[in-house]
Amino acid sequence: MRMQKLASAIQDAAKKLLEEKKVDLVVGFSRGSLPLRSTPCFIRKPEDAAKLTWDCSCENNLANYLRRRQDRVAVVAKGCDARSIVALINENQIDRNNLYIIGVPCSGMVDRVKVDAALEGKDLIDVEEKGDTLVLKAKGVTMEVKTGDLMHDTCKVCRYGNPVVYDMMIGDPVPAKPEDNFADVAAFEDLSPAERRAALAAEFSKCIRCYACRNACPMCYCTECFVDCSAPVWVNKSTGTDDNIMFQAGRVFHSAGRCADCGACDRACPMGINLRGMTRKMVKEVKELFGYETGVNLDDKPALAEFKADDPQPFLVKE
Amino acid sequence: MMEYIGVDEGRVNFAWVSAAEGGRFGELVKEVTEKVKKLGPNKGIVPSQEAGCCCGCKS
Repeated sequence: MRMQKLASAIQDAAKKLLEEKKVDLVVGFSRGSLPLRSTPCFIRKPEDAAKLTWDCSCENNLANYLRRRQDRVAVVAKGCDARSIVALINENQIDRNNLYIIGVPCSGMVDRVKVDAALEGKDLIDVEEKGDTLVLKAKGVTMEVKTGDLMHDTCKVCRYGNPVVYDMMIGDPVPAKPEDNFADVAAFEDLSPAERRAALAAEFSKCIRCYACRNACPMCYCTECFVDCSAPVWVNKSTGTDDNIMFQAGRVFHSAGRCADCGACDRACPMGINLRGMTRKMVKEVKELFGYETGVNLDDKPALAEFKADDPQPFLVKE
Repeated sequence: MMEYIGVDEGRVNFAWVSAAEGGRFGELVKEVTEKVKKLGPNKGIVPSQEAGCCCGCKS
């Protein structure tokens, strides 16, 4: 019910913006063809605003559609989208003056993999929101599961459910959460190098190099990606496990201080690889070394764009 | 990050050397070479039975 109220408020806002010709385009979500499959949607006419929706499956990072646009765009942004938007504004990829941000506080999006696991592989037919639980309906089964248990891992540790920038806020702010302690990354760091090698090899032997992770990432916008370049060959294009790991490590390096840990790459992966295991290491590193979190403040200079004489450099050879 | 993905500790080394500091560069290279020799052959980033040849085939 709460979600439906948000959806109609978003529709009204979009309709008004388009009618008043304040924007040429509204980027939001519309219902997918299956339950819990909301999909990005682009509205240009006021009468189409009714297609917009809001629910617990609006998981894509819409910042991905906002770079280098000539038209005036409004975007429906949850917390992580807003952080990526800030990062892109800081990198001059988005003109803040041409962007209208419809902020929607987000308490987390539902992971369909977890829904499938709860239903033991049965096809989800319908879903209904009931307080802080979801009623999942499949053939012959109806079960009520706590929404919190079905959330993406990335949403569980997200501290920025409330958009950090917005022109209009729809819905009530979500309560603050405790600081992320990166327990998952720390646990992996504590393994021996051999154990880490084995764990990563098992994970990345699954990679089919479809680059869905890269394409879903709002920060991956190079005109020519290092993986596509064939002269020189920065990284092999074949799906050898070592090449797969090097590809992902390269991607993670390129997103240092730019990754908002939105988890879009992880969600996009058709092979279910735990990509956040790698991306979060860099997020942790940047936070610990430079005290910088991506996209939380418009006035912050990106970690890689700033230099201080006393920047920590623990990676240098000890002499 | 390199260590995180399983490269042995101490195998990746960074240093800042000016183009005018030839002597220092030589010393650093010697030092790092010694250090890496002690570590022995690189175990790679994947366990050897998993690693394919350079083209990605498993032969």
